[in-house]
Amino acid sequence: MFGLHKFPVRINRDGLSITLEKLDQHCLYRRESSDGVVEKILLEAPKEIVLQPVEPLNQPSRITPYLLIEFATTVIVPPRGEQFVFLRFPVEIGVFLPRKEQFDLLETISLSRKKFSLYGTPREGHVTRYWNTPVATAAPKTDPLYEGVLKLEIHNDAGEWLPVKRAVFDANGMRIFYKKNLVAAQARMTIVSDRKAETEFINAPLEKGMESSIELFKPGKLVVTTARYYMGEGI
Amino acid sequence: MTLERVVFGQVTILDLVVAAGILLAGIILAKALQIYLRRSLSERLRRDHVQLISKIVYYTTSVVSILVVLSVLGFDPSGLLVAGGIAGIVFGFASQSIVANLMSGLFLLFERPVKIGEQVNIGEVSGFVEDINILSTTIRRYDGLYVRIPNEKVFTADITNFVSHVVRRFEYVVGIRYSDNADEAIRIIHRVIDNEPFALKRPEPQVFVDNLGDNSVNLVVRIWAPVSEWYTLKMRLLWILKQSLEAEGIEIAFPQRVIWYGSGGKREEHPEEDRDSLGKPARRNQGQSA
Repeated sequence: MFGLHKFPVRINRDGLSITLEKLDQHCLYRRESSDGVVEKILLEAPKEIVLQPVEPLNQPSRITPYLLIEFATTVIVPPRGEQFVFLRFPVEIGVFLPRKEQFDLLETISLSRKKFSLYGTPREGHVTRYWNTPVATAAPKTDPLYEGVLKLEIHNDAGEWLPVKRAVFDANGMRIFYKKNLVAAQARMTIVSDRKAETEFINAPLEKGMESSIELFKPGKLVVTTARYYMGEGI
Repeated sequence: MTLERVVFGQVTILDLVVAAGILLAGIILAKALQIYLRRSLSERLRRDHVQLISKIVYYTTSVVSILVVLSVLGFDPSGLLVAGGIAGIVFGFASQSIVANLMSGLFLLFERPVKIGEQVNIGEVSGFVEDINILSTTIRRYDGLYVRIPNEKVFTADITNFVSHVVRRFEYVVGIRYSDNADEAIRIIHRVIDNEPFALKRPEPQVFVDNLGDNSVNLVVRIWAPVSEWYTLKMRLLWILKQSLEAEGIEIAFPQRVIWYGSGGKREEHPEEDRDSLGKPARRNQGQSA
């Protein structure tokens, strides 16, 4: 379903319906999903629309750039070790209007469960999008409209076996790649101590032939930060 | 030449014109810089930071312009220090409250217990902070009214900042009948909360039997939510809880009183009436008993 769709558009899948049709002199965009119905009138019919997986932080409203992935099973990481595990992350669908070499966002759609959580304390913590995932040693099969596959490299710089129950990421800089039946991202987690770690996304596709998605979250021009997230309130 | 005519001291009309021009240019420049900073920084910095930076630039530019004007008019700005000291004493006695407000305003700008755009309660006024000026703070109350509070009052008042932390908790009390299963009600309430995106997973919501009331078993429901979303969620969720409980046969209790009528001063035995409609053991109303 991801990719370019020529006008007029009629998509029906898994309870999601997207239509883009002529309405008198204008054009009507209509989306129907479990979240309800959205209608928008476009004053000029576009030649096409583009659907891509985007960062799962736009629905119901964009209140945070942070994504907390909680492991259904605790992972114990050996000292000075480098391991990787496969997780799942929620996916949102971005509907874009192409413009020369750029894309304007028409809307985002979320079919997966939406839940938020606090990481840290009410005073200094962050509100995060919450997702609970099973942990696997091989890439799991997922429905790309709902979930993506996240390959997480875990580096343990501490000198002891340490349990990891969660990972928090900053979506500014989250790179999502997709192909027909797969949405995927890669990330790295460097454990500093039993309560502290640093996470970041890796800008590389999980498999060959995957295309890079449009990023909705980008650091501001004046903000001199990397896309790393410092987990200081437990791992 | 008219422009060369001395008005006072050695100041000519030309000097006055030049001074007026510099003052006007300074004020225009200050205002232009303020507008430029607000526009260019509004999308990059927080609103209160933009306001603070633009105000500092505005007042600094204005003061520099005034000093230049004074120098054009032949005044030595360093003399202001001496004159200002004497005048300051006189002026200070005459305007204690203004100075107190000014100092409080400066402290507020640096301590920043409240910021522009935040929801606060200052003294008895609740609402959004619209502006923090040198002498006063303006609040837009929730009912839309404009309130100006002198900074001295703001500085000494108890301040509650509703949005200082990223999350906050709210609470409901849900009273169910004595005949209903409280464990089942707790399970249903947890399920409803779990389906709400902005009812936070952590800190975990709490649902428990808080007390056995006169007419109902009272459950306390405590939910944490992001500060930007808590009020919308609070307004919406209670009705959903009520509907969900009733859909599964659990009723919200309401006050009832069972009146017993007896005869000959003896209580008549009605075993099936020993419990009231709430399923709670009925109490005899002495005043109504015969």
